[in-house]
Amino acid sequence: MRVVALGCDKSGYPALLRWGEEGSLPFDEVKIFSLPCLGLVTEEVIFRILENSDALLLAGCPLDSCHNQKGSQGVYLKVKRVNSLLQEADIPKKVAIAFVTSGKVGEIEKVSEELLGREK
Amino acid sequence: MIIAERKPIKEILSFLGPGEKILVLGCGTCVTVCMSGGEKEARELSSLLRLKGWETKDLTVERQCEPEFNLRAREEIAKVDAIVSLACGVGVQALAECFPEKKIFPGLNTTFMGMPKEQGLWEERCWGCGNCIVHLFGYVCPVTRCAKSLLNGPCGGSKNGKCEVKPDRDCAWQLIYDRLKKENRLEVLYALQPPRDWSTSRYGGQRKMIREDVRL
Repeated sequence: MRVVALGCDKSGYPALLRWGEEGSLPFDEVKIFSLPCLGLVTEEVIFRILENSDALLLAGCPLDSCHNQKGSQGVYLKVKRVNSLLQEADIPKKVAIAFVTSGKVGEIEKVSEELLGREK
Repeated sequence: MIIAERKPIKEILSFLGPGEKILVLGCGTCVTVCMSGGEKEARELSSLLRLKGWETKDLTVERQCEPEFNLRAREEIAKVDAIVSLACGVGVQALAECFPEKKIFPGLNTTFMGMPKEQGLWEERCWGCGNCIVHLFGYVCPVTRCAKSLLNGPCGGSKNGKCEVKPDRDCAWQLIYDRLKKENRLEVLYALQPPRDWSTSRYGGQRKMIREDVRL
């Protein structure tokens, strides 16, 4: 499975890097990118990424303590919408989002399992 | 504005032939505002169709209901086999009249003329009956907003300000009463409204408006 991972500068990206350093990743290929805030991720960006990958993993600040206040909330709604469109069209691709603090990677591991269809 | 919603994806997919080059054509006016057929939605659908294996492009014109805007897209349209129009029913038909040789499919279901009430919620306000009398009803159109279109209301089913037909909707006659009361114009309600002349509405087939003063 080819996965693109996007993380916000404040929490998600450091957590993704740590996740990458800590152990063997469960995917064939993971490309990790940073951006200032997950709120910048639009549905259009998500679809574009999915055209060249199997799944998208997003990592951002916790919903109630987003550095930019509404970034995580905004992307959460977009991800929900995109997943429902993918499901409606029977497209076997998925987007998952992990709300993390920079030091903790547990949530990313959990979300990775979701992407692999091995929900705990 | 005209409110529309996207058709189910599977219905849209059922229109398209295998291997066809598709243009998803958005409309930059009403359906952009109601978030169903603007530039963003056109890009999304285009991307979704690519994920399903079609070769697609997307483009958004300012108003699909006006031929001059559609004709500006003629070069892009010439390159594709079919178009999914994300306009209202007027836009789809205007597009089809501009490009009689092209296969065009509606990507939206046109629902009503209305307004946004809050983020993600739109409500119907006008039937286009051709004879507006909202000033007599506290600016609340009973034709559109009363489930029974009563001109002499309310009916006996209004309960706690809600409609008996659709209990989640406000009773239009409650709204009319409240507004007229606020304006100290309740006496307006004593006037009995005569039966309505529906000849201006849509029951006689397609309507037309001719303005000799602006015709060329």
